[in-house]
Amino acid sequence: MPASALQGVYLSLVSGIGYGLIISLLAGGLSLIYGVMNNVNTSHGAFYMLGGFLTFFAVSSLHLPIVLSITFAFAAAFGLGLICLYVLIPRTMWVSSDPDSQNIVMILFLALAQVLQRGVFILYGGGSVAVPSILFGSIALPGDVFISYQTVISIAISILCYAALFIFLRDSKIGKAIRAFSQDRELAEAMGVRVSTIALMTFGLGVSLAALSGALLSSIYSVTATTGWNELVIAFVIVTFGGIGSISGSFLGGLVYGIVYSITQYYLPAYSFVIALVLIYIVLITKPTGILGEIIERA
Amino acid sequence: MLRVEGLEKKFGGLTALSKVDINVDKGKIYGLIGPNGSGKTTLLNLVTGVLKPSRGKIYVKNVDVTGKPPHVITRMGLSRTFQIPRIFPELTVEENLLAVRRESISKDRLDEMLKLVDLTKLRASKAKSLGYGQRKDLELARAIALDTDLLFLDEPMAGLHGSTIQIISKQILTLNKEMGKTLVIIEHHLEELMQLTDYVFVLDHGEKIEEGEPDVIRSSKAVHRAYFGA
Amino acid sequence: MKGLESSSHTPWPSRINIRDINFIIFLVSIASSIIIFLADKPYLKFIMMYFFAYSIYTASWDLLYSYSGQLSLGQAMPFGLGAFFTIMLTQLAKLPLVPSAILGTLAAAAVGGSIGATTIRLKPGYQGIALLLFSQVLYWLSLIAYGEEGVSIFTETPPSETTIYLTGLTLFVLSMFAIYMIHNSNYKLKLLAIKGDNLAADVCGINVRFHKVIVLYLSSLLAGLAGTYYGIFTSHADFSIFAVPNSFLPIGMAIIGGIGFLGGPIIGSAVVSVIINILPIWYSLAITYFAYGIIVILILKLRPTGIMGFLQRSARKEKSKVAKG
Repeated sequence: MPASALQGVYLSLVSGIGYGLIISLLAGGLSLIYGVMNNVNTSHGAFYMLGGFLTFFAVSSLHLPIVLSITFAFAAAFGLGLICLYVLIPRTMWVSSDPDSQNIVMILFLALAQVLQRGVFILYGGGSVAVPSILFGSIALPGDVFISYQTVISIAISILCYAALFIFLRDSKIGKAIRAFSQDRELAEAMGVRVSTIALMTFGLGVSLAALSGALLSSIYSVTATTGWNELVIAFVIVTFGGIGSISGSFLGGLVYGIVYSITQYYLPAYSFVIALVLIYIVLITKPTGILGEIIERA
Repeated sequence: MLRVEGLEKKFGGLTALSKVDINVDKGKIYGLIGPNGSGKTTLLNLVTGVLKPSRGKIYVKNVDVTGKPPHVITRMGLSRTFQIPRIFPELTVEENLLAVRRESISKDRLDEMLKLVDLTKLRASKAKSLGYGQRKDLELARAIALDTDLLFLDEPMAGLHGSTIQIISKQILTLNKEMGKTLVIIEHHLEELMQLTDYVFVLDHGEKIEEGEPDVIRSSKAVHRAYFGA
Repeated sequence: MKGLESSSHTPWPSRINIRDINFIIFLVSIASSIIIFLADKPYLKFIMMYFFAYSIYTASWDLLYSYSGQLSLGQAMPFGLGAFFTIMLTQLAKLPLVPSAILGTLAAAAVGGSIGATTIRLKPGYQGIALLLFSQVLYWLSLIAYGEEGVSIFTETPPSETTIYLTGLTLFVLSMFAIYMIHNSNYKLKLLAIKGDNLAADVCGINVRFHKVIVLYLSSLLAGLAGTYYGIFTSHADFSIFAVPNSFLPIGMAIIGGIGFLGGPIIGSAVVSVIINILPIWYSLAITYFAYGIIVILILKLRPTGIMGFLQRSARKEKSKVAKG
């Protein structure tokens, strides 16, 4: 391959890893929600979109510095997530025990996504919105390839977040309760862990991760009111691949996805997304081996 | 009627069933017993097609049905109940029976089945409103509605007591003596089972350790060891 | 059998024959269609065309969900394919409208059903998302292939508004009749058994996979038919027909009308057809759909059985009042 082509692949790979890491935050959130609450959050993509818009709002209307804006987006999404779960979903369905309940929750979340999307559309119109970078400029990597500071910072933030999440789940009181609950529901309840608290915390955390992902990525790519459905699907397949409820699985899965996607994009830019989706579809349909691999029903 | 040869089932590293051979003849009542975890329900799941065997063969009426899906095996003449009843919750009691029929059924026969399990009064109630014992009755009636020659009952007496168990015993005898069905019953209520059955298979840790008529089983050292330890 | 006739699969403890209310709704809708036709107000006729398309579309989703327990979050796929295939056949193959429509619908049914068939072994959540995913694939493909303008019908002899209207009415009647046939059959019991417990149904001799696939094809056929008609009376199709909000549309309409009832799709699509054509006169489209989402959520939370459920309860109260005398 000629030097420039090699460079092209290299550059794609680097940005792909960056993209993959950030998107894995989104997937991690979905994985958390599905793993703990046994519900598919079909509004996850909408919260991703919201993350971008909340950041934009904080920057343009609240005039907060960019880092604070991203934090604002994270916190606001958390609060919004709590409210939505509390108001929208009947308490008995917060943790689903059967497919009927799961279906109804998915429909409710889908309706929520519609409302959120249209709401944002009413406020901001259909145009795209981009958030300023934390730091402008780029670094030179070996091989004469440039990567923007923003990408590097976003990667750093993602890794930091994963570390924080990991420590949170391992050491904090709520984190331990969440893990105990997802491993053995009855035992955890018997030991005094309250289902409703766990569900609220998990959902809030899950969607705020989605929003964070959106906040970070909206500085690299832009978001519109209708963004989010692709991201939902991507997150879903990463979760499938990495295993439901496995945070490290989402991390790895996101990386893999980012790399595969960027390589596809390098060779076939126009169709890259479609190809990615089709590949995802095939993964879902044929034996998708997550680390848990519990997807295909028996009989 | 039913023949199982060298049946084995492994789940990853765990062997649930190994080298089991069983022969079920027409017209008798069989028992399948063994301590918890011995593989009885696994065997039932394999025979009914819910699970696929790792090794071995299953023959229903001398036809090889190994690996076939449940509905195919059921159509060959084998039906079953579940330990925890799996009824169709949104259908009424009546509809639960009608849904599984491939040919139409006369009102008389339907009434007869409902009467056998004492669900006539509840025939128009949704199945999900039934209590545990009634659900077991409904499952039994549904298995009968399938008009099969061979009927597997998975712990029909579980969770029931005293007089209800007597009723179940009577139902089982009716199924065999009057309706001519061959029955294989998994049970833990050993005394009742011994009184009902013509022949018993004993499993332990996935292997068949004994088989024979109830008297033989009662006095078998191997069976005692399996249940009570050395 | 009498027992069969009065059966319903809705969560009501009573054995009231709700066929009556459904039938009344059906008749009312036909009567309204005819009255509006005779009144000859073009705007009202246009709303009715939406009504015809959306009733069939909603019925297609409800069939899949209420009868076989399969949740589709991507019903826009066969719907959009119906519109696209039909229009493309007129453009590319230069076929006249009627053969294009027939082939287009069948093609949509074939593709939709086949894709759906690949998802039946997935857990419910996964199945819904997989179907959503595939409609996203089509969204992007059609955007790339046909741009934002999409495709328009090419026909040398455009049919008159009367023809389109009456065709819509006929399709509506036929589709509702087909659903009614299923609703009152023993086949419905089999489907509900599958929905109730896949494994138990299989063990009871029902070929679960086969029937799930059949219902998927049926559902895609109806959705494709709806999409074909939609493409014809709007004479246009573009990538937005595959967007997720369009997959949500039949779900919301079914919820508003009442999931699982024969009359549900009819009422739901009537309400929505009116809303999305009338509200934008004063408010924007975005506000309209925003309101739509809120309404669906409210109904799900306050009256989950929808308008039909409400009507049925009123009828029950009436009957018991009469009985008490």
